[in-house]
Amino acid sequence: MVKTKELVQIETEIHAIEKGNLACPGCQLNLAFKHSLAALNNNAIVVIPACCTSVIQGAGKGYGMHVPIFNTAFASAPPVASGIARKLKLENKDTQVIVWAGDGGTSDIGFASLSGAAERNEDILYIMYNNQGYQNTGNQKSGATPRGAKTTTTMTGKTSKSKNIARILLAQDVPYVATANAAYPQDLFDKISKAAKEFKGNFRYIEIYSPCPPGWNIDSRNIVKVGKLANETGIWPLWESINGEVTLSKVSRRYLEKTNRKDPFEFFKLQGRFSGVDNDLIQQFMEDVEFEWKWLKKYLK
Amino acid sequence: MKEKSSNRKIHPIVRPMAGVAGRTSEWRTQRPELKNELCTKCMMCVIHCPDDVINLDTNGFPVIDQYYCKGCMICQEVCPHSAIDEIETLPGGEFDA
Repeated sequence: MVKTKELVQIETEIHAIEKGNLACPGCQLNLAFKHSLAALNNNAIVVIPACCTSVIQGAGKGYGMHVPIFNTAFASAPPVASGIARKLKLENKDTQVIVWAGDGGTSDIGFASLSGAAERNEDILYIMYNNQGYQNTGNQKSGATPRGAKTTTTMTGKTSKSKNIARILLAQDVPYVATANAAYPQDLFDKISKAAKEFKGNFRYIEIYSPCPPGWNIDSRNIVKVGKLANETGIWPLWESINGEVTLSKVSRRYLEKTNRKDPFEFFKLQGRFSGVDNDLIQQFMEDVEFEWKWLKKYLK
Repeated sequence: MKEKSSNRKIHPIVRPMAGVAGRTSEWRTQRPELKNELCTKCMMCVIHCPDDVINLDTNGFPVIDQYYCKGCMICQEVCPHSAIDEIETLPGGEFDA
């Protein structure tokens, strides 16, 4: 794992994002973008479908990042990236092609083309930041919203289970699939640089858990705490799969044992989106979490 | 304002710049203040700052850019040595209350 001092040195040299962009105070997606582009040394072309990042990047006078950005429609991000990647391959360039998409654009609207690009094994690094809803347009429910969470379209809590896109892509035999968390920058940095260096030429998929202060109704100062609690309560386990072999990441290894996990109540009480939700729904959500762990244990060595 | 807009060169390619949203410190109602004497340079605030407004000075201490800091106070929460104070600001975020 990269040392904190090295990470700071790299980031203060690169400055992947500019100050004063349009992100909300405490936005974890902005933080994830900063670490991801630092891991790639700004040597990337980023394809962004409509999502929070297309708002954050700028308002017309200039833009707040140091990489070329291609804004595109929801469902066409992976095909556009495929085209760019093939052209770069013809020119023998080592620039990475990234699709930086939200959970709505990945799990709902853009899923067909994502699956198609994975099937063709295009040279793309697909990064989905998971803020569990359409936060850009005012917190509507998406496929990745967990059960029990209140959104503007599920006023009493979502009643269906969330999609696990990482698991779906693992079923498609994608060479590198990983889940990360914006609250663990070193782990995120390692995963992105591993995907970029060791798996260049293949389709790669990384999912980043990025809590959203206004959408999840959290005080922005608690946002890192919520991210860490998601790992410590076992709700968002961090793992990576290399050619089908699943391993738990270092920060999540401890929570394989159920007794080591923290009380999920600590996680729920910090978030306004779970307040006043029926206890049965919360119970079902915890059963979903157990189901994910059961699946994970089956595949762990 | 009118003169300015007519003089402005319109370019099809936009360039990276700081402050695409203007002076973002005007969004905040509180601001962080670092006390160097308590700081151990653990860099937790730097790696968790979502807006990249914390840089290092020549001695290696973090420096907070108060012009662009949005006042999310994550740095205060992650600091293990309580070296960051929270100071309330007047509306506009520029002056302390």
